[in-house]
Amino acid sequence: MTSESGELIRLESVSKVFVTDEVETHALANVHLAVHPGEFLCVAGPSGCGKSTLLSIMGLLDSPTSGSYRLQGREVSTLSPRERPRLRNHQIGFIFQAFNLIGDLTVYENVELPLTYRGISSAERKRRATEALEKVGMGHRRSHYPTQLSGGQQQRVAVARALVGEPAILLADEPTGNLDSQNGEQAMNLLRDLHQAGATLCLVTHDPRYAQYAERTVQLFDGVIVDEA
Amino acid sequence: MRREEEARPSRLKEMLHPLAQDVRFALRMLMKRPVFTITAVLCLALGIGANTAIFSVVESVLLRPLPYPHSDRLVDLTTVDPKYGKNGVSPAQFLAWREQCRSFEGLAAWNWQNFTVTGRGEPLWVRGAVVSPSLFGVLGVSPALGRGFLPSEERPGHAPVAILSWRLFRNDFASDAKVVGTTLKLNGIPTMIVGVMPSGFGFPEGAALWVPPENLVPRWLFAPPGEDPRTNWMEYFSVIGRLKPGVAAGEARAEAQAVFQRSPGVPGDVARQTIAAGVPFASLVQKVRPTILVLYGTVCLVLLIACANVVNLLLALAEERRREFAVRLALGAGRWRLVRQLLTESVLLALLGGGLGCLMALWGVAALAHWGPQDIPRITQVSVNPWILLYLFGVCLATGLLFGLLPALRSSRIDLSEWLKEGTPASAGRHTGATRSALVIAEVALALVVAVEAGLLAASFRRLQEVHLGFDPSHVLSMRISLPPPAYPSAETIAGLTRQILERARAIPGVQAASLASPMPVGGWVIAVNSLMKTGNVLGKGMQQMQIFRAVSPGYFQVLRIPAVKGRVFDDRDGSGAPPVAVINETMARQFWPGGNAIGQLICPAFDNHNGHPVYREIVGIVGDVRGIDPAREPMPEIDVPYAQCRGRRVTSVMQGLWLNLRTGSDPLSLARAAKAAVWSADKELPITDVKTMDQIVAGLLARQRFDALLLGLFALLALLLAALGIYGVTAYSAAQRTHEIGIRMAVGADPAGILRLVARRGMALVLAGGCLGLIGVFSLTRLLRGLLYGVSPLDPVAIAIAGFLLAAVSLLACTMPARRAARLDPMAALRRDG
Repeated sequence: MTSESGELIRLESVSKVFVTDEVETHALANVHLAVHPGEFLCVAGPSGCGKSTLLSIMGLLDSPTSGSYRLQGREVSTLSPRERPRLRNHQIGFIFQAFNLIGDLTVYENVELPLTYRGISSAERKRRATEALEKVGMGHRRSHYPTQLSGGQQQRVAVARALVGEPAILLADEPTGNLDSQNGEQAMNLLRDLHQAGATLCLVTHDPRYAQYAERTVQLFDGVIVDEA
Repeated sequence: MRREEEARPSRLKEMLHPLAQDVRFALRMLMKRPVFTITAVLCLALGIGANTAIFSVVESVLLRPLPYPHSDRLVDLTTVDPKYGKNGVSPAQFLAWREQCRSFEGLAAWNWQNFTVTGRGEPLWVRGAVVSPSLFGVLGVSPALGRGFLPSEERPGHAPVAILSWRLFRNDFASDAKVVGTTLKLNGIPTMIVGVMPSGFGFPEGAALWVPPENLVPRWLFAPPGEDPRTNWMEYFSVIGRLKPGVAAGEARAEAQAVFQRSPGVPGDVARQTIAAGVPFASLVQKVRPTILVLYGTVCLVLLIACANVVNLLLALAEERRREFAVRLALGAGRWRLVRQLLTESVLLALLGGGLGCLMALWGVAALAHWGPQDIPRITQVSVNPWILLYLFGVCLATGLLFGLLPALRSSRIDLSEWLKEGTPASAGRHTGATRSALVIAEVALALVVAVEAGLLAASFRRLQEVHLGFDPSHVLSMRISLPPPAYPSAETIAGLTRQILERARAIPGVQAASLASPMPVGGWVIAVNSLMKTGNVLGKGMQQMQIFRAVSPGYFQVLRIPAVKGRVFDDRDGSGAPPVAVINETMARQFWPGGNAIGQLICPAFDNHNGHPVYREIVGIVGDVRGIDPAREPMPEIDVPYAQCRGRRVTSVMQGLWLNLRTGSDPLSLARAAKAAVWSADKELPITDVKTMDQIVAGLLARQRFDALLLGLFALLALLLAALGIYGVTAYSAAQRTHEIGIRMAVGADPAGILRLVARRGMALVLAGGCLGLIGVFSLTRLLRGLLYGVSPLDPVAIAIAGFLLAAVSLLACTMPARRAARLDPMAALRRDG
């Protein structure tokens, strides 16, 4: 589902200000950004430029201080705390730099986790989680625990978990940051394959090598979009 | 979307599946953290176990209704004297109520009575009761074997009959059903056993044998020979009644009062009494209620400390699992869903703790029933019954929610974007650190209150032990000899027996002196009388305070080493033909003859009459006070008279319970066999019971106080240990959080001692704060102990100081362990850790 303008995400004049001990930090200032369905967007920039803050707002993990955020044409910047998890669960898939797999759950249970919060049947969850794991080539490790996997394998599981709920967009925050270059390449190839299969992707990275995988790159500096290519 | 809706499970499954998933994950989480799980389960088990064990006493003693059908309709009827309080009921009153009161379905009278059962091996002494035949009907209980009493069996001339308790039937008659219908000798009189009551029945508590009045017991139990029982106003019965449905106890009381007031011939001192109707045995329960409630309050504090500990552990664990919670929230788990999962974990933890606590409670309840002081009613019936299990389950749920809620709510409120990034946010643990410190302060405060409570009771017990009882209990052997009334119907026959027993006992090698007393001066019951004084030729009025009456043999004061303060004690001059004499104690002399002129005065104890004429006795000596009933209470006035000069029916009944006291040169118990043989050489059918040293009897006087002090001491130890665990946990956690800082300090020159002080100081600051808060608790709560203390103020500075010192010592130990570990850190390794 998209908006009438055909945009999946639209940010207008989004700002984010953190206030700590009388110090105001402007993490984002007047950001305008649109993401279309099937697009592979990259948000690049140096450390501390506001990339992750932007991704948090897009992923409904945080709300903007001002401005408008429309997801599939619906204003979501003012959603109540009760509505946010549900929308996040259905529309957004996260891939984190630190993988963020739960150590007490098996690979299969980690992938199944977003579906358990939707209250769908066990058989359906099993079918979808197995399918997602097969898609990233991790079906054979379903009973393992995250600590029994390499970094690259953990990131593949994280991708499977992001995919399993069939979200509208995948948000990847420095997905190669904890991987060596070989595993980093593999992870990016996997994301490219997903994009080619129709997924909408938003990648945050400071590494120009990986930014090249995207169709479009926006450069962020001190919370402001300074370039778009 | 359609596919998802089709795949949605049924409503029940929808509800149960996430729960099952939460339980499965909770179990896995607990198993993967064995140290955390074992520590938390042990904390909870100790708290819940102690709480459940003491609650089972509360339930059994204070809450459980009498085990009879519709027991809410059973009431005790008593008389209340404006001066002396509650009294018994006379036959005249009982008979008038039974005939005229319409509020009751039935009324029954009863009185304790001791029985000697002979003809089957060694003579058996049994504590039983004389009951009106209606008793079992009023209670709604039928015999398990045979029949109950017939109404006609309370009338004079009926063949003697008796009913056995199940315990007596099982233990002494080998559960032989043929005993019903056989004839045994009870108190020397052939008596037919007509029934056996069911297992567990024992009314009044502990009674093992029942007989109707007018057989086996002196006829004057209902009325003296030839007298109409309707004119007998001696109040020695207890009365229980069953109200008709819909009748309130107050209505019945008013009716009983009206019947009483219009009864003809009520003596003047009886007429001033009022009637009370209340829950049966309420006064017995009332006496122990404060002790039990204090114990229960204490175990609730211990449980709170245990819960605070588990909250602390869970908060620490929640810190460790913050990233997991963040991931769950990021993936779409709502806040409530996360709270529910964490509550599932905490309730599961509580149930595991409750399971282990239940085993501990079973053990504790068995110990309480076995070693609990016997003056607590129904203590032997304390058990873990379904109600207790329900309570236990409720406590588990409540504690699970109590200690789980705060960590759960905390965990569900996290900054997702911060926690999902690489590395730990700088703010991590700050808030929980403050909460955990507050919890430790509360734990220390509660532990101090419990420790001071225990200290006060221990100090009180010590003071009681130091009370001079007024005699020397060491090297004294004591035993009870119950005389069957038919064989010893008069004071003269008893006096002959006592002479024989004393002669033979004194001849036992190792016995230095022997004497007899009725009743026993220590640990038994008292016979309270009112006496008349005669000054010159003027008959005095009744004295203002009741006096203890005791019949004794010559040598009684010497055997117990009760000092003569003035005048003389009894000797061979005081025979049956000599002028009647009495010895009184110091309290009596002081109260009634404050001028110090008691010697030579004449008194007449109410019991003491010969052929209906009062016997005036000359006071020939004053002896020291003996605190033989309750060392905490001031001694009562006491009159002692020589056996040889005792006359009259009522004195005879007192003398039928003899206590033989032997002063020995060696271990008193080594002479027990010889002493029994000496008694049986005088009469081989005399039952001998309660063979003990006087030291054992004296120890029994303080059994409850000792038990209370021990139990509270145990709970205080538990509270201190739990508080120490909490202090240890918080100090260790704080030290771990400051590892990087400690590395920097070491790098710039801090020595290990400085690091040790740095870490320990934080823990001890919490202890200090907890101690101050605890003092406020001590000042407000220990007042509740006032009624349980003897010679100690509820704010006794020594008890508070000792408790504070112990708490400080345990806390210092708990702080030092993590501090020492921190002081041994490798600075380079510490610096490599995240700041």
